[in-house]
Amino acid sequence: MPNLLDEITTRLGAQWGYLTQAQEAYRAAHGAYYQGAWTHTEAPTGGAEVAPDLDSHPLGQQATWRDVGGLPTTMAARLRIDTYDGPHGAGYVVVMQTRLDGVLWERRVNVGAETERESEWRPLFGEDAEEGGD
Amino acid sequence: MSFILNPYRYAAPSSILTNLVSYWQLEEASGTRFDYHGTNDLTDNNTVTQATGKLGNAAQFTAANSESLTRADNASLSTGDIDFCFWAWVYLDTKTGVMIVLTKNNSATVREFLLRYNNGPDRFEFLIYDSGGNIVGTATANTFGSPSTATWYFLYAYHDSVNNLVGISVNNGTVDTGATTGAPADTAAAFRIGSTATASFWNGRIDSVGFKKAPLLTSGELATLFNSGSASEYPWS
Repeated sequence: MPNLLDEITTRLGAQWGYLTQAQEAYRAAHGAYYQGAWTHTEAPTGGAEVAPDLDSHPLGQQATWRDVGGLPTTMAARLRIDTYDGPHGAGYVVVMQTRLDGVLWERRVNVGAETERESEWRPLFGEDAEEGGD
Repeated sequence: MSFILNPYRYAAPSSILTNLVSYWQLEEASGTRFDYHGTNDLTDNNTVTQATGKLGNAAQFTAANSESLTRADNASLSTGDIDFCFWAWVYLDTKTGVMIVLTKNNSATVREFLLRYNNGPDRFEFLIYDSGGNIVGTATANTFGSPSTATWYFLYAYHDSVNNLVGISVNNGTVDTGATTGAPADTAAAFRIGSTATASFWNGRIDSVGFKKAPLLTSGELATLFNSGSASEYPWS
């Protein structure tokens, strides 16, 4: 795994507490975790720090990253939050993507009961890289 | 002395229930969608909402929000080279891209079956895969043709392990079949309604989904489920 991915993991770790606190506050106020749209249209490349789009939000959910908080001012990986609510309880997955040497890398960090949703940094190829797989 | 039998009290269970694995009415407004027959309750991902259904309410999927319903792989949902079939009522808000009704799919190499709308040929399709994720059977609903948006359709799709066929029909019409060219696989992929693992999100409504491990539904069973376009509800007796 490229060292830069370790570096991005370290940077996320420094921010992690803010993100999870923001999620718990949002859930306390709204009864569900915040679903976050991609912070960047494209994954940052080569470790470049790029400011996130704080105004992005999913359709039908008015709250933006600006409302929820928990993000750094610049990021070397784009991020989105997938929420879930199932038989074993509610949770969310923080999905991160960054592009290094032309390869799209992705890591998923799960917070909640469905631990099988977690995955370490892995390169995405072919249909996975195209968000396909159907 | 004579007896008067009450035909309603003594109605026989519907044969549709035989070998039925799961049935999701999709009546819930949010959160877990319950399996009304089996044990495969579905996890909500990214807040699938609710809209008026074919019967009662339906699950409303918004593709832009990456919404889906999922259940981890288990023996009851696993298939492979066996007889099995699905049915579902579906409603397209748009016809943008490939959109998944249901599948077992973790990636392009770990996948089992897939029922979808494909905007390329503008048809509903049913596909099954081998252990490498390669397509080994495709049925395309060419007889029915192009579906419209904002319209409910009854989809029926199956794998026939004896005759090595996959089939699909729309609104209880003529079944289009395709021959299988390899061995359908049982994989570790999760069961999903509304998307693959990462993409091809449904944009519209899905209602009353059934999954049965059995030979093909009979014409009578299909007629009961379709009910001349009005649908009928579990337990169909």
